[in-house]
Amino acid sequence: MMEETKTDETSKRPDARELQEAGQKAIRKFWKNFKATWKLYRQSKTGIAGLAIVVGFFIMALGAPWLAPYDKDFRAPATDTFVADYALLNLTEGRDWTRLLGLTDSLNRDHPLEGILAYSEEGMATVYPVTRGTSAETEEIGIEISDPLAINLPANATYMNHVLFSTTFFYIVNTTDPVAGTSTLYEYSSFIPTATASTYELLRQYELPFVPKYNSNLWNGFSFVYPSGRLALAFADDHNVWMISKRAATIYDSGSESFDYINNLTIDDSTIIGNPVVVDGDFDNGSMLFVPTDVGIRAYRLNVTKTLVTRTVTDITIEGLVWTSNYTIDGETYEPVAGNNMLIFPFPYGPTTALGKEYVALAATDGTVAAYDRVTGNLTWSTKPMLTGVRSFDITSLYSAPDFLVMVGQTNDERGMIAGLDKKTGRVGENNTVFTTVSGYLNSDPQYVAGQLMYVFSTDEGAIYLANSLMKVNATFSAPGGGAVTPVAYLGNIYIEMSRAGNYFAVVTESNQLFLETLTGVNVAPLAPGTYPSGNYYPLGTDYEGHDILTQLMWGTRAELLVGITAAFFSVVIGTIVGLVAGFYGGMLDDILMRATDVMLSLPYLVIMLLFAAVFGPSLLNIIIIFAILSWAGIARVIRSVTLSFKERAFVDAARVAGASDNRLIFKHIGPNVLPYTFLYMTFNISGAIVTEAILAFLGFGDPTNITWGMMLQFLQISGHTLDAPWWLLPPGIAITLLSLAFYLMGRSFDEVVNPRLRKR
Amino acid sequence: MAGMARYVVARSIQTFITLLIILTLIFIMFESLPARPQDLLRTSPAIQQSQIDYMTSLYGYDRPVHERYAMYMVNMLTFDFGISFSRAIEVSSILEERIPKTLLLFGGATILAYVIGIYLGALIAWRRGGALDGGTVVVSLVFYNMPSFWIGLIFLVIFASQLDWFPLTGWYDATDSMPFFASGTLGFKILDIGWHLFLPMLVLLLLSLAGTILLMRTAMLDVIGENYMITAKAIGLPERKVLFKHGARNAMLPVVTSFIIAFVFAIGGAVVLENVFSFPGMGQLYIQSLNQLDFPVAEATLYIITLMVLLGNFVADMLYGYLDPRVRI
Repeated sequence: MMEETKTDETSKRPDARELQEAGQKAIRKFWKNFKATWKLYRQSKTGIAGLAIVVGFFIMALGAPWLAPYDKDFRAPATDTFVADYALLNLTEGRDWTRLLGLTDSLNRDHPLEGILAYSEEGMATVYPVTRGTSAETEEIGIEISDPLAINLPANATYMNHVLFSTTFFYIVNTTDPVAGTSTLYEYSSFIPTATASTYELLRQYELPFVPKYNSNLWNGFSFVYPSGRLALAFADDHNVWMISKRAATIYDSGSESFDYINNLTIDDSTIIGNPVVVDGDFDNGSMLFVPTDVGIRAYRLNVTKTLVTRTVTDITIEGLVWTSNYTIDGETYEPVAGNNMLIFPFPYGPTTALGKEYVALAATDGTVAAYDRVTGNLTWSTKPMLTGVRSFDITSLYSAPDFLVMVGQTNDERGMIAGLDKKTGRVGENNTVFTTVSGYLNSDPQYVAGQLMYVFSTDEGAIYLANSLMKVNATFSAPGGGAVTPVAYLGNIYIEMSRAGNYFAVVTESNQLFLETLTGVNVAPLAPGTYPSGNYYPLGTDYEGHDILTQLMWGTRAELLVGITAAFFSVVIGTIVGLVAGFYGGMLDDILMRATDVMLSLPYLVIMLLFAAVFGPSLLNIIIIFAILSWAGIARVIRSVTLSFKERAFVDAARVAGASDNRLIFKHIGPNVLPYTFLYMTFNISGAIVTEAILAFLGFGDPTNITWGMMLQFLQISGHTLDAPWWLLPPGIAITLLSLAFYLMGRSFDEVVNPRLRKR
Repeated sequence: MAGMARYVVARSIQTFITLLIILTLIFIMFESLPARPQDLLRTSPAIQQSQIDYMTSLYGYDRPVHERYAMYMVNMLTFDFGISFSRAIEVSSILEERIPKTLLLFGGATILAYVIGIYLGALIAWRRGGALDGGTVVVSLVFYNMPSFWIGLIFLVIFASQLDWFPLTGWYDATDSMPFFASGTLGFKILDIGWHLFLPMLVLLLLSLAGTILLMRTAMLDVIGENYMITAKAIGLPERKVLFKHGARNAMLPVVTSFIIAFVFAIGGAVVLENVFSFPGMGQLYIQSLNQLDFPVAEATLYIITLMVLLGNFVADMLYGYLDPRVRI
């Protein structure tokens, strides 16, 4: 029905008008042919079904960015795919737990015993001896927690601070004497007299001449340095500073011999408004004491005397004021508020951490942060950090972590906030985005988890968060049996054995249990279809890496159609040209081309394709080329025989008599008439190419940089989940079958249009 | 029979020439592989230059291309495949144990597919329009367009993993327990191999069957309209006789002609399925050797597979010549 008889046009140059008319005529002719073809085609139900499926997949391919439930590169968050080990332990009843204090000396691998010290508001502290190893109760976690040992504190003790210092809890409770205006600090230590049991006892106590209002902010683990086995703490009220430098208590201490150096400082001309800090705690050179006051920061030099031979510290004294600096930000001076200005320890930056390269920073609640040179007191930078999308915020804490100055605060819309400030500029990352806000206020400073490059923190709503090094939440944990009632305590990296070392953190739950969570755990992906803790719904589940299957399927349609159509197009172009030439010229050329076709047809093409893929390397383009080179033979044969029959028709003879060249005869007169066959075989070849791509991909010769259905199945196979993840196995295979079948059905129906003989049945 | 003899000779020569062309193509492709086997050696610091030189000369990479080509052609045609690069044993000894397994799997499936396919195709064409016809055509169409490995995986999941009726992998396991026969006896061996072979063979059979059924049905439908069929029916021959003797016999011709295409399809399917079922045949060996850059094994495997296809084609041609005397002239 597409064949037509016409003579060759004369060779005079056509003008524009004629060209236009010819164009319109061609369009009308095409439209007429199209309508006639469609009339015949639509009689075939299977053909319509095939067309509908193909159209559906086209919509899916084009609409993937809007239709797919997730982004192309989406991966399910760790909250969904990762189940961490945890343990629950019942705690002593009737206590009001407010704070977990952590483990002593968790890095000491030879130490048989640890301790979690929990503090209750009634002035009771409890030590749980912790042993490495496994027990039936906490087998996943790999540590065993024994019955609690209670430490009985003085009756009116209130918690002030604690330091985990080697094998010692420097556990500071404060009993005040309101009449005398003095207070007492107590130091409890764990000794290990035997290998199986430790004792916690009062080691020393110190009398303070005042009731402290401020003390060194120590619990975040970064605010003091003790490479020489020393720590320094400072306590202050409005005008007095009491500073102690001490060596860790060890089992060799007799208890009477003191390595403590205590200093007092009185500031009369201004009022102390924040926590005093001692920096450069190695006491080797340039140790300093910083005190925030209402007129500025005051910096004092510490004079450290050491013995010549052993370098043992023999005395530490506060020497004198080195510099003062008022709070100037961009030329304006802001009003400091008592109790709300935070000093942090020095943070080095630049290629060297040598002295003189360090800075000390101060933050004010109104969102202002300033950094001063430690030695000179010069303002290095000052800024009000900007958070994209947050109008304003208050700073509640600021401290130095390896990557950032970590800033904790509350936003104007009453959410908790953590941010990472660049140490050189105070900026919140390049685009002011290195921060995250969470529901509820933080009740603990984010604690750095060294091995994981993550921060762990909790909120007053009882949720525990893990944030990555860009301060984005990676995972959320919540204690079973009710939320947490204490801030999360990071217990450090506990070494049990090579495979079981892990970072542990703990909270006390509402149901009076100790919830111990570790970051070691199992990847539970591939996830079956359903809704997961993050609130995400995965309609077809996920694969091993947490990619949403439906999203991958939709994006895969693009590559699939691209490969199928392009590969088939090139193969039929080659096949049609070979068939036309062979059929038209006949003779030797025909013989050679048909022998070549025979060779191609008897090639085990899939096996050769694998070799080609190995030779050219895995990419979609190569798969297209390989398919085109190896799949033209079938169509060449058909086109040749069709060409042979057309060659003898009257309209070709007429054209030849009119003087048409061979090229013109082939491409102008015979070519258009074989096109329906070309198109017919193209639909068959598309269906072949789609399946072939899948097979190549499955056998490991696919393009790993593109999502295709074949690659999805290959990944299923190599990840070892073939037998247990039907939601991952079925969709790509069904999609391949459907699309291939759809093109094949279209081809069959089109076949009936092209070969009217078939229609009679 | 002079015609038949000439036909056989002509086809033999043609097949041989085709084989030479394909061998040359294989040679060119292996020559253009980006890596040489001895390149793998260089990655190990323990390997001496002299050892690399030895390997290079052993595999002929120190000679000019044309010499290497001549050497390759002679070796291939005399079935001298040299030594496996990754396993340091004769390639032929590896092939010896693999060829029968693949032949059994794919030869068995192909022959069964042909016998069943021709019968079923003729039958459904005869009862065209019925439920059997419609159902078989739909099922065949679906199977025809399914990726072979995927249907293999599905069968593996259902029959081997979930129902546990068949083993997941392999070819033979002396520790299995079989009814009737004790371990180690010949009966046990046959039964156990059959048990291992069942799933891959079934899948390959279903895949090959789909094409054959569709083809036979079309060919049969062509024949049914012919005058001699109507005559046969009109003179009151029994339906069975009309269907199989007059109809199917004639309809088989185009099906036999397309045997090569089905054969090529089946060998591809076998290669894929061997990898899905961890079946220790040629297909698995081929993929392994390609991944390991074990050239001697990959070349030999490809050669043997091609030879299988060409011989299968040759046999089909002979059969065709026998069935249709016209082609012999």
